Amino acid sequence: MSTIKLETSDGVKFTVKTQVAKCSGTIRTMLEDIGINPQDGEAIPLSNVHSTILQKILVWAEHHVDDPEPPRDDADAAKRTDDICSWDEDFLKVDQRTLFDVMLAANYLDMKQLIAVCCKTVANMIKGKTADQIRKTFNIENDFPPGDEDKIRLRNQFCEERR
Amino acid sequence: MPKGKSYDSRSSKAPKRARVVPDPLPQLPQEILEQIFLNLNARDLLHVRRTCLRWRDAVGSCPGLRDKFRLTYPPRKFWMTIPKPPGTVPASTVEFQLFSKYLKIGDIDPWWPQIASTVTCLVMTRCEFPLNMLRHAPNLKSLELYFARIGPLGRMTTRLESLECVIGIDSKHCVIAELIQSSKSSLKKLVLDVSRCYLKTISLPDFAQAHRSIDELTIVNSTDDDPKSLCSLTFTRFYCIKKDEDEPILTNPSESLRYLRIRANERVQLPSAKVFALFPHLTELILVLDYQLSDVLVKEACRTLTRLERLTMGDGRTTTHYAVAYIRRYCRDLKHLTLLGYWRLKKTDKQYLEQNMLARDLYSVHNSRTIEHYFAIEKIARFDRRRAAGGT
Repeated sequence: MSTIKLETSDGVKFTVKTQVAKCSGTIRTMLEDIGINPQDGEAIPLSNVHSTILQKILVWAEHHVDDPEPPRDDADAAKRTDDICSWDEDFLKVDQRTLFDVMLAANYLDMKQLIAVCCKTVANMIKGKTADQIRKTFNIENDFPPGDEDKIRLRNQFCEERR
Repeated sequence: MPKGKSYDSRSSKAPKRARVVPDPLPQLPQEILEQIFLNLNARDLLHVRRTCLRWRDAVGSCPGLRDKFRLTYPPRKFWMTIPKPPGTVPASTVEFQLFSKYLKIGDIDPWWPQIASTVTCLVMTRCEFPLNMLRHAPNLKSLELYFARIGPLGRMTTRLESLECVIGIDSKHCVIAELIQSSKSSLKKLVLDVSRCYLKTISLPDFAQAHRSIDELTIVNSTDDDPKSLCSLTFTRFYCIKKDEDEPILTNPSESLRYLRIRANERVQLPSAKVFALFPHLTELILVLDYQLSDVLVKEACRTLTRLERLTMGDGRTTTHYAVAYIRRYCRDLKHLTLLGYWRLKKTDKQYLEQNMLARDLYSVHNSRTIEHYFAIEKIARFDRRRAAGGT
């Protein structure tokens, strides 16, 4: 089985099965379209990804390497967030910082499935919470000018779920 | 390399910094934020909008998220005083409504052009507006007019895909014709509930021929003032044609009609119960009659139309509890049931509905004070057949 080398931002080199590495759209494009030859022994630089995060992502990719392509999502279809498989759920039981670093890296590496499952995880953390609780959960600063939040609260009264 | 080792050292080094630097979640790229928020419903998104500036803007700037909202002006909570227009809001569906007096869109003129460009669906209930307000909404796909007074259209073109009009006899029909004409090539769905004077002017097959883009056409007459004429029109006017993909538009609706909608007020003479025998293959029936629905009519409908999957009926105050019993007995394939208005249900009916149907939008089912053992449903109750696991 062919392997390729990846080099992270902190200089750590990983040797990865080509098939696993191709879970990343970015790497797949590099290999197939730009024609980087993995046999050269030269590592592909991933300048935006830290080694700890890549380590984690590779664990995920290894587990999901044989997954079939997901069906094209209907934009109108109601999104479900309770269909995260238990393996992924355990995999994403990490502190928020790691979770967001994984999301950023997955975004950079163009791994749609991983992003989707991360987004669902975050959405589940937001669901059912008030604005104050959300801010507390994610340590977000309330940066509205004074009075603006009240304005939004008033405007929100005009909005409701679309029937 | 041990998993997560260097990461742990990094995070343990910088706990103080983490308190000063805001958490990375708000800093996530816009497309990831959108993807997270797409998993949320409108209620959660309203809370998200109040969290911080960046998130407020993220919700407002994504079309997929705007589609989750419906803006109502004036909002239902402010019945007594009408508040100022709400500024920018992230809704692609906007409804203007007023029941006591006509709302003039001119009153909100400076506000409307600001938000109109992102609006794709506009609902007008009992308001008066100049049609040139549509000029500000080039992305409008769907327009619903309920007793709205509308002004002249001029030579404007629209790209409407769906147009629904319920209009009293005092309205100017020519404007509807202009509207239809102006979106001739894009219109897919057309629902007209207009007076006979207007219906007289169109011949349905010709009309369908002229508007080939339309694949769902409903023409109803519920607002007429002349009951006799309506009775004779029963078979020709009270119908809807839902075009299947391969089937040509039907000039004789009876045999293959799947969808029938009958809506009539108390001044209109009823269609005979035999009307249902003409449409044996119906899978969806909407039968809304003001103060005229009888047990016999319900029985005939249910007994004849055994293939019904979706049924909407109202108002039930002129029926007894037998009506619901007929629905139970004959409509075995029923998947969706909507009961409008006031209905009398026996305890067993309520149990049946609870066991077999998944209540959706059940506004108030309660013990009626005057009639023991009966339950009354007020306003609207919709039932979906319980999905596999939960049902009995």
